Amino acid sequence: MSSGALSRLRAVNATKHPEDSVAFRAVVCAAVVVAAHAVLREDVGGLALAVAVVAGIPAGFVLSHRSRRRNRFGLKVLLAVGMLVAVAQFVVALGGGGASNLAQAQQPLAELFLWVQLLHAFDVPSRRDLLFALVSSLVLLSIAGVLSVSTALALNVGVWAVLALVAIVLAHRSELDERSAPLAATGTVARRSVRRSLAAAGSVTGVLAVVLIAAGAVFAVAPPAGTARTLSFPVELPQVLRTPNPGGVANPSLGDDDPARPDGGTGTGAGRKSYGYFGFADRLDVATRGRPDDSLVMRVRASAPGFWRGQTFDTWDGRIWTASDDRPRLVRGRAPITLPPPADGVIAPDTVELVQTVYVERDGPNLLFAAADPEQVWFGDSALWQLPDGALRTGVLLDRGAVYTVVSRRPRVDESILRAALGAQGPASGLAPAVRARTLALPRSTTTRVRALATAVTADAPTTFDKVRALEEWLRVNVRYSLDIPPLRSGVDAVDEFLFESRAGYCEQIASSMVVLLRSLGIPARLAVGYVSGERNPFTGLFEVRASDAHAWTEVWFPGWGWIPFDPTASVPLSPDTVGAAGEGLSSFLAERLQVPTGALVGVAAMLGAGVVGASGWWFGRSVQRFWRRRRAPWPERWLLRLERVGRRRGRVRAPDESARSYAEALGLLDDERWRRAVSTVETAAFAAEAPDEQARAEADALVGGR
Amino acid sequence: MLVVALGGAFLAIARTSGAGWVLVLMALLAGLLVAGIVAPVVPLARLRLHAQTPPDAEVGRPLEIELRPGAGTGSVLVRIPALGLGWVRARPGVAEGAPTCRGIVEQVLVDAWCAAPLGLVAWTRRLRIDMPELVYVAPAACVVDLPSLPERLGRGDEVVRGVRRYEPGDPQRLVHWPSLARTGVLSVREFEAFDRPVLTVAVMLDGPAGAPEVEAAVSRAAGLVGVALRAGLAVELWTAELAGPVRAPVRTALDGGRRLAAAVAGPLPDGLPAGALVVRSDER
Repeated sequence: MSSGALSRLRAVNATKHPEDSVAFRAVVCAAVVVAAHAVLREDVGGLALAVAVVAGIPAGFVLSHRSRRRNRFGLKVLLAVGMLVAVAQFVVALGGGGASNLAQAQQPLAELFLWVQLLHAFDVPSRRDLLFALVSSLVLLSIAGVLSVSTALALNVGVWAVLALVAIVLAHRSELDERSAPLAATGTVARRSVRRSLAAAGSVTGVLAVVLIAAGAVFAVAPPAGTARTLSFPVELPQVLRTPNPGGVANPSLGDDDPARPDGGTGTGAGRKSYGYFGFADRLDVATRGRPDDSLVMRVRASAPGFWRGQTFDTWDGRIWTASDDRPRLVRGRAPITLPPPADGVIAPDTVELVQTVYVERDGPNLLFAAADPEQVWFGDSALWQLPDGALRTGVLLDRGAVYTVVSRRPRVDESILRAALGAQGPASGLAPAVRARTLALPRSTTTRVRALATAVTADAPTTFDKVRALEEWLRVNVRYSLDIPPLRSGVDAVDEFLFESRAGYCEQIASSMVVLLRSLGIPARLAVGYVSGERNPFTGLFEVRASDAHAWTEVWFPGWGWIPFDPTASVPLSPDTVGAAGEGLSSFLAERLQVPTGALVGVAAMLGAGVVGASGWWFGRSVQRFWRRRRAPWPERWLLRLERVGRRRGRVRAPDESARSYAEALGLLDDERWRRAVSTVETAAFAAEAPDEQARAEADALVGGR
Repeated sequence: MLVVALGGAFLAIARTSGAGWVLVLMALLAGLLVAGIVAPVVPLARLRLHAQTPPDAEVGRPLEIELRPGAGTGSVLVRIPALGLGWVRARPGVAEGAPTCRGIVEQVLVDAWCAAPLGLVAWTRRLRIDMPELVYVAPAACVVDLPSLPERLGRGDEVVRGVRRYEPGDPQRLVHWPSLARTGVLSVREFEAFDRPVLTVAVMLDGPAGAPEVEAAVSRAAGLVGVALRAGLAVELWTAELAGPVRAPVRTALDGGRRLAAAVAGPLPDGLPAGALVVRSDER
């Protein structure tokens, strides 16, 4: 490189306007560290990177400040080399780590951003550089936002937002000082300085309030975060521990009841985790439910809520459900694994896609929870087992930290479609004979009064759909949801006991009763178990599924459309729900987290709104008061008020001790003979014994624009 | 633009990746943008400004302008182009300007600019404030042959004729101290009337105020008036003002400056004397 080119390069890279504000620099530094910390807490990089970032960024800012007026060309060259090394490291990580899709590139990319931010911290001499660092910290924070699936990021976002706002305000002040010429000050500098600091703090607080209110409003109406198939999905398998019974159900959270144990589960219930659910096994005894606690078992990223189904049961003996055709089909492949249509189902003519990414938070069963029917799976293992009902089992244990994605196709149905789905050969049309037999079978224990009840309740229902709705309605009105029920007596039919004796029970009993009632009418039905969608976290956009969300519901066969879920325990709409806006459920979510009733939160919002309305009302009232004061006051006072208005328009407010004459003089009006006459008229009216004539008053009024 | 672009990018990322936190950041950016748009309007709308200057100013020479804005507008920048005042904060204080053009100022336009407190979006406002002001041009240096005056020219239009003995009632100021010192006799000066030569300066402008040639001519005329007054001549200035032609004597340079500040292109009074110095804007 010639010396001329080198000097040109030096000139181009010279610092143009070094920033002197230490406060601005310190706040930007803090914002960058907070953003970097947000990324680090998402398990990005190791300890070395964490130490380098947390210690290096402040050191870089200090060095940048001290050398802001010096020639930094050599340092820039070093930093450029450092950047190249970081990029090379990123490329190696991509290749070496076998990152086959975009999702797997997230971690190396986040590390690269951290290195870039660290190196950039050493080269922020000017305001522009500092603002760039602030924008970069926002990008870092967004990376943390993509990686984060928990609310813990809220602290970083909150602190960063305040710091960023202060930094922007300080940057603007610095810009103002640069753009404007200095004024020779008057008055006491110390007092003014304190006043200005207070005013600055007040303005930052005010702007923060405006930002939060506007952000809240935007968040409340913004479209929700969605998932698209154009991108690949995260896949994680913390450890590959094969299940002892390939293709079978394994559920370590059930302790001794784990069906994967060599003895097939002793049924003692010993060692069962507080979040274990009996339904995620090879059988379901409706007489025992247990009480899964509120532990977070998984998070689901999905564009719509749904039933996250684990498996179904089709064989009922009056007390216990089992899956009669438990011959899973092995499906092999690399992600994404495309699944064949379920053997027991049918491909619906109109479906809607639902993408669900599941983040496992507790060691649980080897079931892939997803809405029916799964079509494609992104999973960390190459083997899956698909059951005839479409349910999926893995060959490995699903521990905390496992991540998988299932793309499902749900029938797009509504009431009219289902009413029309009659089938040429009755409600079971289209089902294979074996499946039909299984899903219509009833045990001998099913009593006559149960069958009679089904017939009586659905007497006026012409279609399968109407029958389902009639039964749902009957159950809603006549039975009570309760976990506190007496133990089932030995030898009695659980459904008969529930419908005619106890009339109280939980979802397994309610759904089982629905299945039995439908089967007695010749309508194929089966029991599904899994989780309800859980509470949606409006910040992460994820459904937080807790152990207590474990649920059982009914699947009913509709010719041409397949198995449609109905939940007799709760009223659930047919068509797939959608999340209307990002902020949907925000108030109830915050109320729960802040341990305040939703009403209180709404009350605070209402009070804020009332405050705004009140302030507006006060302002309006004051205007009205002024108006009436003008109307009722003696003429000289009214004239003076109007003169004040004239003065305000000219940028000069009347001092309290200024007379009409001195104020008019200060406004430069008395050069005009008409104004001199007007002021004399006003003075005469105010102080002389006799009132001025109407003509003079009219002339004076005309000057101030009205009476 | 950057905020909008980032917000759009975040929305796209959130929509495709399902990352709710990115939507939160997008909402914060939107909130920031809203605050950035709305917040500057408040101080700008509240801005009331009163400014004061000395009554006379000269083009290009520093002029102290005292600003007295209302409260809460310190984040607003104001400038008064006519008085050469660049951007200053709208805070109480004294700023220095330099008028850029000659004329009689009654009101000035004030440009106000505010992007506070975030600096994202700037709003401007123009207000007109009263500021009676005469601005005249800087006199140009000039060389001119002027008639010579008697050396013993006294105060006013009189010349000392001689010295006579003091008589009671003579003002003390007329005492001729040198002769008292030499002779010991108290004497006073005697005067006789003297008609100062009158220099008539006629300013013939052809063009709008502010045009370089017009201002140069006015500047030359000011220089001429100054030289003549310093030489002890009586000066009569012939100009055209907005109200019509003006022909009037000029006593001081300030007086001349004020007259010339008001000079515009137009017809001069009739009867311009033969020896008058005519300053034209169309000649250099």
